[in-house]
Parts: sequence; structure tokens; C-alpha cells
Amino acid sequence: MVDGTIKERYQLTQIALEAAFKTLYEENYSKMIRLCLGYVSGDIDMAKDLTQEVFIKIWNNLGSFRNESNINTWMYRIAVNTCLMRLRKMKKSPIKGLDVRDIPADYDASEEKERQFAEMYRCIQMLGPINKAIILMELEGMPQKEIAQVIGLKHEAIRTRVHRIKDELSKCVHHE
Amino acid sequence: MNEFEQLKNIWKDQSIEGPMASDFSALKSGIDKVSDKQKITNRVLLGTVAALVLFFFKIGAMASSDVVLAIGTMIAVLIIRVLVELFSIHYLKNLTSTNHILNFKLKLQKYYRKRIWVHLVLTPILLAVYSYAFWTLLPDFKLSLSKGFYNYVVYSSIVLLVFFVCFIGNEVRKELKVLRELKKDQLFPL
Repeated sequence: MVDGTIKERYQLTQIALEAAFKTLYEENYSKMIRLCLGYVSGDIDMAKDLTQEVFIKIWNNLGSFRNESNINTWMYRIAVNTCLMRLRKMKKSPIKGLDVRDIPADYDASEEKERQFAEMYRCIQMLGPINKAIILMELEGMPQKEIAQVIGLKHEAIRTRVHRIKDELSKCVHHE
Repeated sequence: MNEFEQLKNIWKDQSIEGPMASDFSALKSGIDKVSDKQKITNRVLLGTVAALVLFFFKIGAMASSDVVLAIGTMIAVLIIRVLVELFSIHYLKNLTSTNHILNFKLKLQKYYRKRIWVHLVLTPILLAVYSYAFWTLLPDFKLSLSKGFYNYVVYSSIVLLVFFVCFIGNEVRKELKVLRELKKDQLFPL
């Protein structure tokens, strides 16, 4: 009887955990894949693969998540750390991302968008791994206080740094 | 709207397909695969340890105490090395969890320092102990094996020893490189 109750409780917890995970996945998939795209120069297949790895880690750690930190901050920590680890491995095999040169000269509106993304990826790629993480979270509209918690720097340090990277990125995209 | 706000809008405007049911199924099967792989690894290792222990007792019943001691030492060395490797893999896997990035970097440095210690101190000691135990077995091999097979055992073990020393040297070189990059802040520069 007692065993049965424990088993039922365990199954209920498992079902609740799976439901919570599915909601997290559906609500955050786009944000996570955009972050991963920033690390792999817009290579969608590689970004999908990386996003899957991120969510596998989220699932593996979800049971130990305590509400001490924001779930968003917690997920971004996993995502950025996973991307950094992958980046370390990718040093040996360079990635093929979006390239401005791949887009024809007589491009239409959708191609113009593609060109803008390719430009952004190119400029993001020029940043260091930590600055890349900062700007990718800033582009997602994440509060700077949370970015500071993901990186482990003080809020003021992040504010100064964001200001500098924003300028660098804008200038690079507009070829200034 | 300033230039960066424009970039922000462009960024969020990327045509990324939302998650589909099939993506979630693929993710679930990915999770199951990881867990199955872990289970298979654990079973294979448990099986290997069980086989080695059984072998040890079988030999123990037939051979002299010196042979038992030598084989027991060799088995213990193998088990220790495999366990160290398993703990290392487990540590690295769990590193990418809830740490903030600066903490993650520090833990990564700690991990590589431990790896260097494993390669430069622990593994050579284990290799020396294993080789010594093997060497003490050679007189028994000479008595019980044919001359050709005995020579084969001796020469192949020398080749294997050279191979392992080269392999360890290569691993140390690779991990030292990562540690140097981490120390110089080249891997995740701030």
C-alpha cells in the first residue's frame, strides 16, 4: 500500500515534470535556437542539433532546479555553457554559416532580409565568446540584471560592456 | 528608433519554424538514447568487472599465491583506471549545468588540472604497477606456454606498452593545450 502510494506519487511527479518540460520547450525553443544560431554563424542544422543538446541538458537538470534563480537565467546558463563547449570542439572543424557572398546581387525583399541576417551573423562572429553571449541575450531583450547573473559579472560591468558591444555591432553591420 | 533597436527587430524577425510535435518527439528520443547509452555502458562495465572478479577467483583456486596477487593487482589497476575515466566523463557532462559562465570556466580549469594529474601522475603509476605485476607473471608463462606463444606474449606486451605511452603522451599534450588556453583566457576571453 505504502509502496503503491510512493510509486503513484513518483509517477505523478514524473508526469508533472514532463508537462513542465514540454511547456518550457514550446515557450523557449525560438529563443534558444536564435542563441545557438548566433554561435554557429546561422547554420540552421547545427543550431537545431545544438538546441536539442541544450534541451536534453535542461531535462537532465530540471529535477534539481530550485526556485532560487529565475528559470530564464537558469536555461540561458545551460545554453551558453553548452554553446561554449561546442565552440571549443568546433575550433577543429570550421562551420559553414550564412555568407553574404552567397546572396545574388539582384536580390528581392526576402533576400534583403537574408543579407541583413548574414551581416549580423558575420559581425556577431567577430566578437569573443562571452561578448557574443552578452549581445545575443541583449538582442533577445533579456534584462541586463539577468544577463549579469548568466555571465557572473556585476550589473554595472554588463551595462558598460553592452553599451560598447552595441556600438561595435551597429558600426560593423552598417560598415562604418 | 536607434540603430541597435532596428537590429533587435531584425534579429527577432528571423523566420525560424516554431517547435513542431515531431521536434519534441525527436528530443524525447534523444533523451531516451542518452539514458539508454548510459545504461548500456553501466551494464557493460558491471559485466566486465563481474567477469574479471570471476576470472580472479577461478585462477585463485588453481594458481599459486604469487600469481593470484599479480593477476589481482592487474585487475585492480584496470578497474581503478576505468573508474577514474568514468568519473571524469560524469564530471564534464554535469559541468554544463547551472553554473554562471565565469564559474563554469573556473571549474573547467579545475577539471583539466585534474586530468593532467591523472595523465602525468596516476596513469604512469598504474602503468608501472600493471607492468611490474605482468613481469612477475612471466616465469609462470614461460613454464606453461610454448616458446612461440611465450615470445608472442612478451613482444606484444612491449608493443602495447609503447602504444599506451604514446597515447598518454598525446592526450597530455592535447589537454595541456586546452589548459594553457584557459589560463591565458584564449578559450573564453572576457
